[in-house]
Amino acid sequence: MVMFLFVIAYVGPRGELGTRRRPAWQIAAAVIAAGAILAQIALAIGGAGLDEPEAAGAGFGSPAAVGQLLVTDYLIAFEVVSLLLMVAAIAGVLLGAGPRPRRVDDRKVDPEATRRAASRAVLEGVTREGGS
Amino acid sequence: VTPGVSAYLAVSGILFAIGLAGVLLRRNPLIVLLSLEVMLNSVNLTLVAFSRYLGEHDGQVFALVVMGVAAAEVVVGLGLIVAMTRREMVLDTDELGTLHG
Repeated sequence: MVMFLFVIAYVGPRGELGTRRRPAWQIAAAVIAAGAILAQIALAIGGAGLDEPEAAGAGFGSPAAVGQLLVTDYLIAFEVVSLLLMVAAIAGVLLGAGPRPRRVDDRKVDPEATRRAASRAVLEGVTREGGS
Repeated sequence: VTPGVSAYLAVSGILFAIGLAGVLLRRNPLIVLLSLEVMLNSVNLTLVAFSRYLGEHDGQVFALVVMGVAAAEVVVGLGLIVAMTRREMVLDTDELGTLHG
C-alpha cells in the first residue's frame, strides 16, 4: 500500500479520465444483472444457516500456530511465494531502472549497415576470385 | 456480541463488488491496480472469516500466501506504470492495447 503512495507521488497530478459513454440499453441491462446477482448472493448468504457460534476458541490464530502450519504442511507454498517475491523484486528493479544508457561506441554502429557491408565484402571477394 | 460469519461475507462481497467495478470502469492503470488490491483483500477477509468459523488455521495460511502473491503483482504493475510515466506515455488502459519494444 505504501508503494502505491510513492508511485502516485511520482506520477504526479493528472486529470481524471471519464468513463466511456455507453448505450442506454447496456446500462439498463447492467443494472438488472447487478440486481439479480445481488439478490442471489443475499439469498445464498442468508439461506446458508451460517449464524452458528464460531468454532474458534479464545487463543485461536496465534502466530505460533500459523507459523507452525506454514513450515510443516504448507512448506512448498511458502517456498514458492519466497521465490516469487525474489523474482518480482528483480523485475521491479529492472522495470524501474529505465532504458540502459548506451555507450559511445554503440551509438555509431548500425547493425544493419554492418551486416550489409560485411556481405558486400564477401560478395566482392567471391566475384573477384571467380573472375580471375 | 461478535458478528457472525455472514456479516464478514457481506462486507467481503461489497468490497469485491467495489473492486470489480473499479477494474471494469476506471481507465487509469494505477486505479485499476488499487481496485485489484481491494478485490484480493476482500477474498482474504472471506478466507480468515471461514478459518475462524471452522476453527482451522489453513485459511489463514492461504491468506498469507495471497498477500505474498499480491505484493509480487503490485511490484510488477507499479514498475510498469513507472516505466510508462518515464516514457511519457498516456496512462489510459484503453490506449495501452499494443506491445511495443
